[in-house]
Amino acid sequence: MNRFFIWALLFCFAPNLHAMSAQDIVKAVDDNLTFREGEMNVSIIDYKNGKFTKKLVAEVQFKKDSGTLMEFTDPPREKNKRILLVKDNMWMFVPGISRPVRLSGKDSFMGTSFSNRDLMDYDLSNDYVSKLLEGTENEYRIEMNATNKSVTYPKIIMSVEKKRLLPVKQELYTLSGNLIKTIEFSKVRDLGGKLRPSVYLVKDVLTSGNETEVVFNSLKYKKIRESIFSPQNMVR
Amino acid sequence: MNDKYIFSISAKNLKRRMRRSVLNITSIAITSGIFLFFIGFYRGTYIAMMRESFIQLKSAHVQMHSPAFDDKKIQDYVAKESVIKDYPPIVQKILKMKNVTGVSPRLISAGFIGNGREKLPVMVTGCDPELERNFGFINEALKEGAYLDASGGVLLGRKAADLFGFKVGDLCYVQAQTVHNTPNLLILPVTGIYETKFHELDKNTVFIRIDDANLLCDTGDSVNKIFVMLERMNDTGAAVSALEKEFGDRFDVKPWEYYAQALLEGEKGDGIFYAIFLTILLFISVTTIMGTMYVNVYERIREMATLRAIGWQRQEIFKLVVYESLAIGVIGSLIGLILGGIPTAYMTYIGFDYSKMTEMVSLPILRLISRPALYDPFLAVSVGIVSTFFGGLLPAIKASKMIITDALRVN
Amino acid sequence: MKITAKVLFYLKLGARNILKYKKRSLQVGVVICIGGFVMTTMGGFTDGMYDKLLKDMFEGTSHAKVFRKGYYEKQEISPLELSIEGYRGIIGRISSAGPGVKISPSISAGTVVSFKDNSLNLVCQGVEPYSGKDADLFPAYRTYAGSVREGRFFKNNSDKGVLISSYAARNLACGLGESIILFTADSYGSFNAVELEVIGIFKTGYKDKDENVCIADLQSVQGLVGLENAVTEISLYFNNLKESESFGRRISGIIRENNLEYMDWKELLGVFVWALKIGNIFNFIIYIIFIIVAAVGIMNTVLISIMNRMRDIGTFRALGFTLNDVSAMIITEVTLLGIIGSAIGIAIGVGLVYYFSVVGIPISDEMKDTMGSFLSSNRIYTTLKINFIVFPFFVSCLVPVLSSLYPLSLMRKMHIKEALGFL
Repeated sequence: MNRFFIWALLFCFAPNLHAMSAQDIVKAVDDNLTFREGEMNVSIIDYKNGKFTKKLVAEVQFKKDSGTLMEFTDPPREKNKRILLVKDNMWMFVPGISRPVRLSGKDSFMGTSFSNRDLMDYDLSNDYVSKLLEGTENEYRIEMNATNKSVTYPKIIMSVEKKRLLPVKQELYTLSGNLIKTIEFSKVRDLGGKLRPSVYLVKDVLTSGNETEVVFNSLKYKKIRESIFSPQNMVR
Repeated sequence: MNDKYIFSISAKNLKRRMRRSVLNITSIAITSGIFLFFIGFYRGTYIAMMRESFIQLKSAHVQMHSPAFDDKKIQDYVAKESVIKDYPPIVQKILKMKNVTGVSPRLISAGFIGNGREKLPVMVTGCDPELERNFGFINEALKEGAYLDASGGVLLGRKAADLFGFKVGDLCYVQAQTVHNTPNLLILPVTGIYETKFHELDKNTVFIRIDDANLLCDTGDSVNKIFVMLERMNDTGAAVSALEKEFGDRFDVKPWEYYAQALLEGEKGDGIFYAIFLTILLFISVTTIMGTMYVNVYERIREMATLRAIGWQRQEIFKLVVYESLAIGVIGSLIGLILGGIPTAYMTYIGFDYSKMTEMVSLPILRLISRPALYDPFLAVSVGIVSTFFGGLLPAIKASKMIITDALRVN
Repeated sequence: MKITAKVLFYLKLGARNILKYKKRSLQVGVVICIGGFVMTTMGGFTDGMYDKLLKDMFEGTSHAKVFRKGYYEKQEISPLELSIEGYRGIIGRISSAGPGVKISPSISAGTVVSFKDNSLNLVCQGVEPYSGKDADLFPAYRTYAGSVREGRFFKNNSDKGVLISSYAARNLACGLGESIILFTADSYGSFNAVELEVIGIFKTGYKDKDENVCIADLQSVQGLVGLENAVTEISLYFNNLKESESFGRRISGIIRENNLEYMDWKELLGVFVWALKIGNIFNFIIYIIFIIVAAVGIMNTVLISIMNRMRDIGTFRALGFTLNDVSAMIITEVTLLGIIGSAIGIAIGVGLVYYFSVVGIPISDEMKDTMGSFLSSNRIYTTLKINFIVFPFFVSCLVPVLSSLYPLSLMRKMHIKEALGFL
């Protein structure tokens, strides 16, 4: 009896025994957001100075640890342009040219508030060391510091919904500690069999009114051939 | 007859043909005044301003780099063979060498800066802020913001900042190719804006921390050039020898003259021009004096013959003529000091802003100045006196050689 | 005495006096000779060089340009949003205002030029190199057209392709007939690329052109940057350079209506014009110093000459010659000296300038690199112009005449009796 009571007390008064660490939370967010392989249709809507500038629609094929291939379907000017991301490398193909051109991972993605690197498959949990900050009743607040210098954002502060371990907001900081972007995650729905945010709103902190909205229209699991993630394959 | 007495007669003779004397004095005054101005100007603009600015803003006194590094091949500045990997002990060794006042290891690469939309080609210079602080000009040229600190950032020139409308705190995109020839980009805050008036630095060069430059170029912990500053320009030869002895087997050691060939060529060309111009002016002055003194001798031949007849020696007649021309030289030179001194003073204390020229030529010719030395007036007066001496020499020889009886008979 | 007889008499007398007073004449003659030589050579070396540089620069810059307002200050960063829309209509209106004006639209864009694994950052100029009804080659492209080493220049405005420099070809390891990719951020902010055949490889000798520029057809570059109905600049070339200044006023209405700005050559070549001005001021100061010293020397010699001939002058006056006759005689004498001296000095100067206009003055590679925008070869050539003969001749004749005015004024003050008894 006494032993049982002691265990009960420990269970009640030692919540940390069951609480998640920052690293665990980040891992969970990674797991919830990413998927191993599949296809999706995304719309990227860009605003400059608060006004709509363009809308890009793309079909994306993705395979974890292999790469991401995007092909734009709309607007007509961008149709059939392709972007390939493999690890730290990025290529762009424009119809009418015979071979793809290599880009910097950190350049602006098609003139939006995203950078190319934002789209690459990186693991927050592998690239960052995390610690818990003071959160709210419903949200964790985590500070993540990069473990290697090659990531775009050396520091990220992320708010995570406690219930579903989905990101609510990310604040992205540069080397010197300046806030450069924020990403707001909303409209959680079933995508590819998992609940995830279907809208990412990337706001450029430097220039007020500049933001990009990424809307996941559809997402499905599908076996993707590795061979498509090569620059040579882009030319077709 | 003592020299003082002869000199007083010569000086009085100047008054007898006042206009002639005034014209000769004017000629000597202008020539020596111009001489005084030009030596100060040449020393100030070419030696002090151009050479020193070049060393301070562009080349330093000595540079060291890998033998594979080629200054003319900007695309290959960041290549595996061009970089120096273990530079910190090298830097420490150089700092301990005699006459070395500063060492700056740098990773320099061709790149761009921009605002995310537009970009400008620049030389991205990664440096060690602490070593750079004691080394160069950036700290002094800083107009806004602060120097690079541990958190990093980018220092821009005024012209580059104005082009993009960057202010301190704004984020600047710094782009370059990595050592693997892939594009890379860093977004860094503008920590400071400098203004050197040297277009190449103010528009086309940016400074970041060395570790950021290594990150940008993926070169690990490397540099591609080590700049060395010395106490004086004249220490360069000895420093080059010492550095070659220590590091010559691994690195190329080059003095500033290697990089300043265009500057030195221009200096030489202009120097030759000034020398020719001054020589022509002196020639005209000397021939004018000579002509005048010949006429003076001719007009006073009977007078001089009379002096000879009453006991004056040949050398006393010689001195009479020479002292008259020397008197012109002394008076003219003294006036020349004023004529030359006024523009020299202006150029010394005010000068002329020539920095606009750096938009056309990649040499730091920032100001035209004079830097007079204490001995310059003595030189200018000496030139005036020596030229009048030579001007009066032949007429004096002619006067001293005259035959008394023939001279007395001249009408 | 009739005038012609008088003049002949003065000339005869002047020539006689020159020969009679050889030393003095030689002294004055040498000074004038040196003066003429200095002015001719300085003119040929500096002004002549500037004229040549300016002429070469016009071929790269044009006499005037029209930009969208605000573009010129930022042109180094190729701000595509500041482009000239509806440029064909604007060109039509400009053409109506100046029928003889040659007009050529173009776009400048910073691009990455890629061939296989090699890439290079170049400014790509999209051009329509032929202008006017006769489709003449626009002068700004003569430098490129004339320096094609392999392949060819554009045949007409519809000809597609790209010309790169031999420097770019070497760095990209590509050759004639190969296809290179031009890649850039377009006016929509997206990335875009176009592949063009290398139709020609040039080497202008100008460092900034050879290392930084490639030339493509306008239409391809318009497509690349997404400015299908726009250009970034309209270049103008006039029959007479001076027209460029007034033409801006003539088309001010067009400029204002379309939110454009007109810049003539002085504004386009701002720093160069400033340097030219400084150079001219420096030359002027050198001339003035030289003229003063020479004038003082000549004045002194003429003064001595007049004073020594005062009795002769008194005799002439006693015989009935007026003061003006005597003054005219002396002026004729110094003018003759001026003519002879300056002719010799200018002849030597012209010879030297001509020699260097053919052979050139060698400069080092470092000097050439330092002045990359202005020098296309390792030699600077002087130019011989009629100005550099006429002006020095005129000045060299005038200075002795002016120098003799003061001595003449002293002579004129002297009474005949005084002059006759002058010792």
